[in-house]
Amino acid sequence: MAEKYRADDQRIMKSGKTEDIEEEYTVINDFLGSPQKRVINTVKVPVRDKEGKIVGVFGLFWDITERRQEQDRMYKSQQMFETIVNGIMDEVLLISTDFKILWANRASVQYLGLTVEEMQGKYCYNITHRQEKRCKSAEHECPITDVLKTGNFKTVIHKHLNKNGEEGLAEITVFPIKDKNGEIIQFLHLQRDVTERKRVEDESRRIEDLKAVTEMKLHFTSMVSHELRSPLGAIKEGINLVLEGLAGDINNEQKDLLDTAKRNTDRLGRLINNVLDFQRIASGRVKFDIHQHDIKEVTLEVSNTMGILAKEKGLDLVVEVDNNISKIGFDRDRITQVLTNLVSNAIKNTEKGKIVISIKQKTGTVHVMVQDTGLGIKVEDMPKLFLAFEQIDPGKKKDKGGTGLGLIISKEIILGHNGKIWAESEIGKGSIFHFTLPIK
Amino acid sequence: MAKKILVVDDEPDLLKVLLFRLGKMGYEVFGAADGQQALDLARKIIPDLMIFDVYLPVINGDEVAKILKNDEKLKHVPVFLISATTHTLMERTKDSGSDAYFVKPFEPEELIGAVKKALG
Repeated sequence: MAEKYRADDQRIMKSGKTEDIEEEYTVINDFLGSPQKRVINTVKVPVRDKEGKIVGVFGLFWDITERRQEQDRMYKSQQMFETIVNGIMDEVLLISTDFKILWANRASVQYLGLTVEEMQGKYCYNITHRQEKRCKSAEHECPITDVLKTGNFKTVIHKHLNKNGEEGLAEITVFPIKDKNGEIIQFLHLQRDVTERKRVEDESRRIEDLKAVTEMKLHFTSMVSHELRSPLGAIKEGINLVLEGLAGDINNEQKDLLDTAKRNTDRLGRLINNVLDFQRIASGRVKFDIHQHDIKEVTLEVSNTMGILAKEKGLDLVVEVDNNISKIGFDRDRITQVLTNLVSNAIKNTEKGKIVISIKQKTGTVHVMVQDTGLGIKVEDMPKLFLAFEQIDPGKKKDKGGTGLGLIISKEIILGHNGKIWAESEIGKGSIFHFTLPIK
Repeated sequence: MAKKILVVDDEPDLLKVLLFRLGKMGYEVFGAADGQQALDLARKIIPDLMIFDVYLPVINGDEVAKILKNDEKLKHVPVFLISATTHTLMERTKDSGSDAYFVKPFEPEELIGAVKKALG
């Protein structure tokens, strides 16, 4: 050690230059007790006589171990800060009290498309809002201004621009960084893109609203239907009593008028029932009572009932069934309803010819067809067939007394059985309505 | 002596036409407009058949039926429930011990048939 000292002195005497040397020594002295590594800073200055000749070296030294350790700690702490902050997904900016960007993390660099150096020294509003002036509008409430006033952190949500100039919704929290006297020295500006979150929140709120509206509509329809049905009972029964002659004899003209009233009362009743039925099925409130049944038997029943109506119009109603159709699981009343609806539509829309109900068994399904020789359906009307309240061409068609809900109810019933329902038609030739039911 | 039928409905018009029809059929008819009246009248006249609307003021029709089905003097009297609200009607009929139910508006033949059957 002493040799190095001497070498340093000689070098300085030779060069005549002051040297500042920092070295680590293992030191033993009375104060330290045991040997320790210490960092010593030595300043050596050449000493000159009057003529300027170097006659010696003046040395001063300090133990800077603690100072160096403090610097190391600072460095490590700075590194750790940057590593953590660069690692997080949120955009972080360090901003000075005069609104200038001091530092930006990796996420900010990516979001804004600028390097840290490009951002440093720029005003935050130049970068995040592409504005020349500080944000003041209600829309762009500046959280930094607020933190300056209150000394507490502040969170706002407002629009920020990304590197492509696209607006995104950002949730921004600004924290004050204070010195030990409590004075704000910097701001930590944390930004998170919440565009997607906001969209999801808005969407789920919209769905909730929609659910509530649907629920309300259901309740309303059910209530209205009930209220409509009750007076209908009294109207119908009043007409019946007079028609039956229980209130005295009536002539043919009176009977004819009352028959018309009765027919329309019945129709109103059907309409109300269909609206209720449709609401219940469409809202999934109907549980199908599925048991093994013979579809042939059910079809024959329907054909017997509907045969009377067909005969009245001079139409033939024919049932063609393959032999050996399996028993399949279905809700007897509901499938009867579907068949009745399809056959009744066929009768309504056919002026001459016949209606054929045929049943075929295919792999995994039983296929039912109701074919008529009626008017047929226009191509452009086909997609409307299974939609609520869509009667084809209401202006041109004579009133057939339908409710416009039969097919959609049928569709819901068939879908509820995991089956399929569809139609094919040709103008002038007639229509075929198909449905299938799965064989389990 | 004519058989007695008690009909209870809070809709006066429907009550009127029902009583008219049953009266014309030759029965002695009684009407009431709420559940309490129904209970009181039933105990007083001891009818041969009772027809209750489900939703009634004071006490619902199916509750009245339940009470009367536990009444020594009335438990053998058949009860029909009528309602425009279909979805709980079957359960209410069963739970109250009633004998049949009809959905409003019902066909006159349905009711006539059932009344004739019940009164023999």
